[in-house]
This record gives sequence, C-alpha cells and structure tokens, in this order.
Amino acid sequence: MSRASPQMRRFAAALMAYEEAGATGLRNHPPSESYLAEKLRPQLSTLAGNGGFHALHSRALALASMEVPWLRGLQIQPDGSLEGMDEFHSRLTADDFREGQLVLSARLLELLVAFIGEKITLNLVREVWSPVRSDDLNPNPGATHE
Amino acid sequence: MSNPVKVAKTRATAGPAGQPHGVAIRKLPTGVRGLDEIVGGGVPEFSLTIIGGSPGCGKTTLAHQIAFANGTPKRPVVYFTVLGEPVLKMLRYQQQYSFFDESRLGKDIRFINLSDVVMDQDLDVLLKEITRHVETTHPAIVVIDSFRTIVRKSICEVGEVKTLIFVHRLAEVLTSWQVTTFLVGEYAEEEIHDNPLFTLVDGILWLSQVSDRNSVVRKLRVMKLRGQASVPGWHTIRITQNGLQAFSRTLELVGSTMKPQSRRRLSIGVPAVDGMLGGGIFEGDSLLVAGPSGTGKSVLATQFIAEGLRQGEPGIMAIFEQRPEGYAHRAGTFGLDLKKALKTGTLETLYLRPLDLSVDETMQEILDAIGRIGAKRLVIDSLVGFETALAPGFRAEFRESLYRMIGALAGAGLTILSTVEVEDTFTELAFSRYAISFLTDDIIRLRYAEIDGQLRKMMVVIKMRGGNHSKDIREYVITNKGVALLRPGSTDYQGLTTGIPYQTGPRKAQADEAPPEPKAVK
Repeated sequence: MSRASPQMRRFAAALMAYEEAGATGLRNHPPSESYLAEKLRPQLSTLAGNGGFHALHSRALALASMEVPWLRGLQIQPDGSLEGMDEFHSRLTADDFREGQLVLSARLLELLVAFIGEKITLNLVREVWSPVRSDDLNPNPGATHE
Repeated sequence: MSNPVKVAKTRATAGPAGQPHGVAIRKLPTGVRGLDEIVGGGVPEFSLTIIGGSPGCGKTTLAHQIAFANGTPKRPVVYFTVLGEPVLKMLRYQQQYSFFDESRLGKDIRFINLSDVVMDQDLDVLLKEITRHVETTHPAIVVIDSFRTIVRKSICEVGEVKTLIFVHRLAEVLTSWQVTTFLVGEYAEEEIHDNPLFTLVDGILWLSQVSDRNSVVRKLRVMKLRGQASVPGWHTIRITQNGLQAFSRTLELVGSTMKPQSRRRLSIGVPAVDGMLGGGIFEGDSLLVAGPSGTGKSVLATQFIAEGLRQGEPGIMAIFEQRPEGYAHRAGTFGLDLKKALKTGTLETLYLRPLDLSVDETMQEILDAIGRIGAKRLVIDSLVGFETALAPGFRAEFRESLYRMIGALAGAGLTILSTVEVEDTFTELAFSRYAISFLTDDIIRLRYAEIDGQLRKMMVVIKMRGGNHSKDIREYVITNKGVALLRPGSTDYQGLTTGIPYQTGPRKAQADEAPPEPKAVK
C-alpha cells in the first residue's frame, strides 16, 4: 500500500500549524472550515474550475482512504467541498481525526506538486497562508519530492 | 526573471501645421523572437486578435509567451480558461518552457477558470463574470482559451445572432477597459469564410502544422491585422524549450544594403586562383564553386575561410555533409589550423542536418553567429546538403528561398562561398542543378577531364560580376597544402570543358610520376 510521502506529510503538518496559529479565537468553528483543502478551494477552483478541483480532491481522497480507512465515509461534493468531516470529528479520537486530515491534505498537496510543481503549489498556498516558507515544502532545495 | 516589456509605437499621422496628429497606436511585444517583425512591430494595443489553427500548432504556447512578455503586477494578464486543456495539465506543460516564470503567477499572470460558468450559465452571466474580473484586476491583456468552445456552445443554444451580440458586447467591454485581447481557438481554415467572428476581430494570427512525408513543419500567417503593415505569407515557426520562434520569410531582406562602388578584393587563400579571379573575390560577393565529387570544393572553401582568419576576418562555416570535427581535422591535413580559431571564437561551424529545417531558420542561425563573432566570411558547404536538410515541403521552394537568403546575407556584408555538387556530363558544362547561378556574383567550375589516360582536374572561372577574370582553363591538383594550380600552358589540349579533350600539339615528354597527384597526408 502506498503512503503519503513523509515530505508531504511534513508540509501538510506545517500548513495545518499555520492554520491553527492563524485561527486563534476561532476554536469553536467546525473542523471542516479549517480543513486545508477547504481553505485552498477558492484558489484551486479559480484555477482549475469546480470540476477540476472536484476531480483532484476525489483522487486525493481515494489515495488517502487506502491509508486511513475512516476517510472512506467522506464524500466530495460537485463544488469540490468535503462532506461528513464534522460528523467524524465527534466520533473519533483527536489523534485519529488529525491523522486522517493530515494524510488527505498530504495527498492533495502531493498531487498538486506532481501536476504543477513545487513553485506554483507554494504560490497557491501562500495566497492562503502567507508566511509559508519554501523549506516548509522542501527542506533540501534542488531535491524532488520524495 | 525580469519582465521584458518593450512597447513600440506606430508613428502618429502627421496632420497639417497646427492640426492635431492622428492617434498613436502602441504595439505590445509578443515575446516571440521574430514575430514582432512579422506583425509589423508588435500587436496593436486594445486590439482583439484571434490565435487560431489546428491542434498542436502552438496556439496556447504563443498566448503564454504574450502573457509573460506583457504582464505586470499593476497591469496583469488575465488568462481565462474554458473547457479546453485542463489547467493543471496546461501549467504542467507550459512551465517546461524557459519563458515560464512560476513566481509571476498570481501577480503578473492570473489564471481564472470559466468552465463552470460556460457549462451552467448563459452568455449574460459569462459576460458579467468576465467584466467583474476585468473591473477588479485592470488587466493589460485578456486571453480566452478556448474561445471557440464558448462560441460553439452558444451558437448551438441561442443561435448565431445572439452569439455575435455577445462577442460584440465582450469586445466593447474589453476595449473600453483598455484591454488587448487574444481569443484562442481550434479552427479549421474553412471556417474563416463563414464565421462572422473573423470579420469582427482586428487581427487573426493563424498557425498551421503541415506534414510532408516524415517531416512536420509549423507555420504562421498574419491573416489580418488592422492598422499596421504585417509581413504577408507563411512564416516558419519552431517550438523549442524557449517556446515559439518565428522566422520571417523576408528576414533581414528589408534592411539589406547596396554594395559599395569601390570594394576591396579578398584572397581566396590560393594566390593563383586569386589571379584567375582578377585579384581575388570582391568583398560582399557571393561565389559559387561547382563541381563533381572529389574535385576539392570543400578544400577550396576551407582555404577561403583559413585565409580570412589569417587576415583577421572571423568566419562561419555552415556544414551540411561532414561533421565539424572531421572538417577541422581534414583542414589540419592541409596545414590549416581551424581548431585554434574554433577555440578562440573567431570561427564557428554550424552543423545543420535536422532534415526538417527551413531556409529561414538556417539563415537565422547564420545571422545569430554573425552577431556573436562579427563574421566577415561565410562558407555554405554544400547547397546539396542544405537542400537535403530541409523539410520536404521547403525543398520545392529552395531556389526562391536561397535567393532571399544569399541576398540577405550579402546585405549583411558577408562574403559568401557556396559549394554545389554537379555531375560531370560529357556533353555540357552545367553550373548547378538549381539554376541559381543568377544569384551568385562569381562562379568557379571544377571538372574532370580525361588526359593521357588520367582523370585530371580542371578549373575555370565562369563569371565574375563587376570585374574581369581569366578565361584560362587551368589544371590543378590537391596537394597536402590544398588546391594548387599547375603552370599555365602545360597542357596543349582543346575541348577540356567536354571532359574528353583532344590533343592539339605533339605529345610532351612526361616525367614519371607515381602517384600523379600527391594526396594529403592523413
């Protein structure tokens, strides 16, 4: 079974940390709102269209579900948004829930990097989390993603 | 990457004294080498241009080059994508080109996907959506890729008239917001006549891909461009890692200069041949050396270049039949050291054998080399090899293309020596199979003649434009120092040009010679 690469897991974790740091005071909001792909959805839909984002997100979910079984219970909506995450949040332990989010986010980022490369992916995520650094994605410049 | 925005302006129409001048139309750079010249200086600002053609011609790449040549953070390029190639894939491929600078995306160039609007909404909503983006971003350029998808869907759903009204309103909005627009689409050439869109737009850049036998050639044509003079006809384009490059079919011809009245003569590197030419070849002339295989055409060409190098004149050798290393090595066997000049950069060899070249591309290569080293002498060895390296589609027009090329290169101040292989016949003295002698100033013909049971080499100057020349037919040999003429009058024969001469005097005593012609030491 293939797994999300450690590099992309680290990158997803870094983005989640940026999101958590920026979301101080909004802790009561449902987790789906701070989910990484949901935050990136406007940028990705503008670039690739709802259909394009839906296809990409679906592929990420299919890959991540092989690694984290509970993700199979989620659905991608026609606009590319994810349905069912908030329900699982209340049923799972915090660690299990976070692992699912992390793997799904890592898979989505992995696809983005594979298609459009590290530079454009960084450009896109910086539109949401401006402090993101290049070494958050690739601590070894010049090396391709693992 | 710096943003290479260069804007040309058409000259404002000068009115009578005291009257206001006509409007000056700024011209935007295309970012495609050679294309600005073809379109007449650049794309007119605020114009609406179709980039059309069949799949795989380079339409999207052209649109991207225009985008990267013009987008700035203040006046970005908005690139609307519509139901064509998926954007992620498009970006994946486009970033392989050197002009593509990822760091400028989202700032200078903004991609917006309109596929959902086109699929789910009507034309009014689409127009509002485009207008909204234009009003908020103030783009300098808008690209809609593919616009044909919008038009086809619209014609099917609401008919031609409403579609035209939409296009008209779109053009009004974009022009009013001072936007230069490019509509990219896969069209068949037949559509141009029936599709009113082509009447409405200001410009049409048409790209095509023609296959002939195993070769594929891309071409571009400016079918229409209001307000400025573009270069008519089909121009070769090539897609490399730098994106599109265009080769104008009149490349540099416009700027060619007349030859000065008084010109110095250049040595060809063989004093006796210089003597036959009346003192050497005129600077800026084009000399054709024609002869069958093995008569020393390349040797003479090498001596011509080597002599130039000795005189401090950088040279270019466009080689089509031998590899540059082999050429330099062979020159070394005649005591001509080309390797040093190649190393120091006073000599460049252009080894061109892709088999799908156009003459215009070759000329661009030569012009680039002239720019690099300031060349004064050029060898084209040989025209037959050159023709073979061309895509089959270009071979039919080789003579005409060669005329343009030689004219343009001579206009650039080069002295040119071209070789051409001709088969010896024993009934005539052909100069070349291309009937191109009209475009060369001077012709030297080499040929074999049977004398005393030997196949000997003869040389004659056929033509020397603007100067007298020797009428002698001279026997020559190729020694380890190159071409060497024998002393005049040592052969009493007539009919040498037929290849089967007859003796006119008593047979002269011949010294034993073995071999009769010393060969170059390898």
